[in-house]
Formats: sequence, C-alpha cells, structure tokens
Amino acid sequence: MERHACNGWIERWQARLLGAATLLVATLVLTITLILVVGAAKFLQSRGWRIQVLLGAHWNPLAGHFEIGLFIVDTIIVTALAMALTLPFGLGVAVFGAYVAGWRERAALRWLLTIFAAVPSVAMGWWGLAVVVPSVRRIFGGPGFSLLAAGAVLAVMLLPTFSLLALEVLDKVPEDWHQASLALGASEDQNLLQMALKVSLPGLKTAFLSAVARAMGETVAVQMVIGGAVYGFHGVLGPGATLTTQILTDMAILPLGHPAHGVLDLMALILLVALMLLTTWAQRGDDRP
Amino acid sequence: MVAIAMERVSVWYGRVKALNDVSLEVQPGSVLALIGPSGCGKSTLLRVLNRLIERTPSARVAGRVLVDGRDILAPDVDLALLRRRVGMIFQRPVSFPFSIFDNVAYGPRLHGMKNPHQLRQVVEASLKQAALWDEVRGKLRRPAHGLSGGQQQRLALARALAVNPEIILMDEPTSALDPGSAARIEELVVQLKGRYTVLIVTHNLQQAARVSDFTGFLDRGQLIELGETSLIFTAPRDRRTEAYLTGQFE
Repeated sequence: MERHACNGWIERWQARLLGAATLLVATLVLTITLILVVGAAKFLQSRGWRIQVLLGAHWNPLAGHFEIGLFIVDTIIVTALAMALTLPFGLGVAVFGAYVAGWRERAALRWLLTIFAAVPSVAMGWWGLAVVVPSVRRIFGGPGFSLLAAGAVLAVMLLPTFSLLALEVLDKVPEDWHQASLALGASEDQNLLQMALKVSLPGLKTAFLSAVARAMGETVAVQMVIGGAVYGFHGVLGPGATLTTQILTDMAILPLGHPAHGVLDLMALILLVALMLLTTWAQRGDDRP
Repeated sequence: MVAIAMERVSVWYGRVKALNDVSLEVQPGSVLALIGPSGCGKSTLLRVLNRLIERTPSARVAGRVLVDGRDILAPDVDLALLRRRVGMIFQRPVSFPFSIFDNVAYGPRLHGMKNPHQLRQVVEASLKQAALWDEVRGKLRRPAHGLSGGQQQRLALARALAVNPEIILMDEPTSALDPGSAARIEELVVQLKGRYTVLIVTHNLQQAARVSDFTGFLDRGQLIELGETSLIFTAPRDRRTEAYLTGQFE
C-alpha cells in the first residue's frame, strides 16, 4: 500500500514536470513568433503597409530604404540551385547504398555520410571560399562570389543528410515487394523505377522538403560565398544576398531599438513561416499507407 | 514433353547444402505438392525454378533445370521472360501500395502493355480467374491494402495470372490465411489445374492430398520420394515418408 501511494506521488510530479517542460517549449515558440510578429507589424505600419516593402529591391538602410524583395528572390534561387544539384546526386547515392552496394560498402557509405553531415557550416563556407568561388570565377567568369557558388556549397552541405534520409526510405521497401516485383519479370531497373521509387515517393518527398528547409535556413556558409550584393539582381553568376545572410549583415547597423530594426523581424518572420509550412507539409507526406 | 525437369539439382547457402541432388519431372497441367519438415528445401526448390534464389547472395546452384526443354540455369537466359512464364505466389500476401487495378496491371505494364483498353481486359480477366472480380468490381481504383488477407492473396494470384504464365509456384499460399480464405485458394488451385502447371509448397497435408495430382516429400534437402498423391498418402514406399505422414516426424 505504502509503495503504491509513494509511486502515485512520484508519478503525479513526473507528469507535472513533463507537462511544464512541454508548456515551456510551446511558450518559447509562441513568444519568439510573437516578438517577430509585433516587430514586423510595427515596421510595416511605419511604412504604411506598402506591399513595395516585400516586392521592391531598393535596400539602403542608412538612407532609409528597406525593400526586401531581392532577398526573397535570391533565397528562392539559391535554394532551387542547391536542390537541383543535390537531388540527382543524393538519389544516386541513396539508390547505390540501398540496392547496389554490398553490406560492407553500405556500412562504409553510411559512416562516411554521417561524418560528412556533421561538418560545421563555417567549415563548408571556408571550403567554398577556397574551392567553389575560384572555380566559378574560372569556369564562368565574373567575381566568383555568386548565387551559384552559394547554391553549390549548400548542395554539398545537403547531400549527406538528404542521401541518408533517402537511403533509409528506400531501405524500408519490404523485401517481399522486391521479390514479388522481380517474380513478375521486372528487370532491376523496372523494379527500381516502377516499384521501389514509386512506393518511396512520400518518404522521398519528406527528405526533399527537409533539405529545402535546411537550405533556406542556412546562413554562415552562404554568407561566405554569396558576395553580399544588395543593389539589384546580378544573375545567377553574380553576387547577391539572401534573407538569412542579410539579417547577419545588417544586425549590427540595425540594432534593437533602432526604428528600422523591425525589418529584420519581418525577414526572420518570413523565413520562420516558410519553414513552418515546409515542415508541416513534409510531415504530412510521411504517413505511409 | 514434361513441363519441368530437374536433373541432379543441388543448392548451397554458403557452406550449407539446402538441396541435395534433386531430380524430378512435372507433367504439364498437373499440380505437384511439395511437403516436408521446415527447412527441408521446399521453398529453395521453388526459388530455383524462377531463379529468385539469386536474390540470396550466398546461394549457389548446380545441376540442370529444364523448363519446356530449355535449361533455365544457363547464363544467357532471359530472366524477364522466364519469370513471365513462371509466376509465383508467396506465403504472406504481397500487395503493392497501389490501387487494385495497378496491382494487377503491374506485370503487363512491365512487359510493355500500354493500351488502357487492353489493360482493362487483362485486369478483368485475371481478377475473374482469381475469383476476386465480384468483390472488387467497381472498386478497382481503391488501394489494394484495404482488402482482407485472403482477398490480397487472390489479388496476388490475379497479378501473377495477368502476365499469362505457364507455371505457377505457390510457397505456402494459405498458411497466413484464415480457414475460409484458405479453402477459396484451394478451390482456385483445383480450377487452375489443366491450364497451368502448379507447384505448391505446403505444411498442410490435407491440403496437399486435396489439391495435388502428385506429391513430393523432401527431407533435409533430399527428395525422398515423389509419386501420385493417392499412392503417397496411402502406400508410401519410404519409411521416412510414412513417418512424416503419420506425424512421427519433426
């Protein structure tokens, strides 16, 4: 009896502590969002809620011009470039790991990808500075610091995580299904394209969207190779700035308390909302039948 | 001509010998039941016939296997063609996470059938042959995973029939099913007799007795005896067969 009573007491407190922890997390998320929303709203109000803030490309904080359209466009372009490069390579690596490699090669591959995934972004940026930027300059001309360089560095950063996720997804296709498919006369290619990849699509979509979210949110590595140009669009081979890198660049000249600090809140809020939507969408794709 | 002839076929998994010098012949249109204790090599024997055994990296096959007089172990054999002619049903019903229609159409599509009208016809005919048509007609676009286990096994049969095989291998096709569903599969096996050559592996001796024309008894990789089902069950020649049939085995 006494033990039961004691357990009940402990369990009640456990439940309360766990509940409190959950509440804390929820409060944090809400508070962060709220602060950004309030900051962004104040800023937009000071600009008379003009849509030009989002669509325009005139950015000169010291002169009072705050139009962030260029950063949104650059963010989209850099992310798209990164995904276009990562997708074929990552899928290739995943298919190799799941279906071609023997168990020894597969273990080595997993180990390598896991290590690779843990490389800090500043190291990737440094590598980008040393290798990617000069390569872009040599091959395509121009300054080298460019959206393309940023996309390439990002692609290399995303590759291990995306490959690992995709490999897990392909690995989950039951052996029964492979055998049933092959027993009907499917070649290995047909089995891959018409069965395995097809049934893995929801999982691969999740892996893809997670990679997109990571690409949009990455800051330091991109900042190191993108060139930071804020006056006008210079094309894929020219320098630019994304939402993340521009927050990094301008947080010093628009500190808290500055009347235009809110524009940074607005940029952060846009990123936050975009990533929330992406993540939600990604998880929805994961409900396999 | 015999449908299948195995000549001194042995299979090793690594160093373990799973089939030992098995020779047998199967008459076209007949049903051969393979019985024997677990691990005796029954499933291995089936997997040699469509060369699915090659999915097991450690497996090695020796001997000759003739299907319609041609050696299917030869390196230049067209695997896709072989597996079209030799269909297979597994112990656990396998449905792809597609619609009922796409499950049945999977095989024909692999082999290049694109015409939607033709596909519909094949799907309908196969589902009718597998006695599933009445239950799924008008619901062909629904996911196959919504079907019951017994229905899924009949769907697997329809999918195998859709590529128009000559031989159907069944690896314990009813052991994961309830008795009612199992009985329906048995009925189907009897109906398939004559048009298809069927090899069925089963642990259910009554089932072997009910559906098969011939029965083979395997023990520890060896084919102990093979003969007409009525004879095997009433007057087995080998002591070990008798022991197994009377339950003094395992």
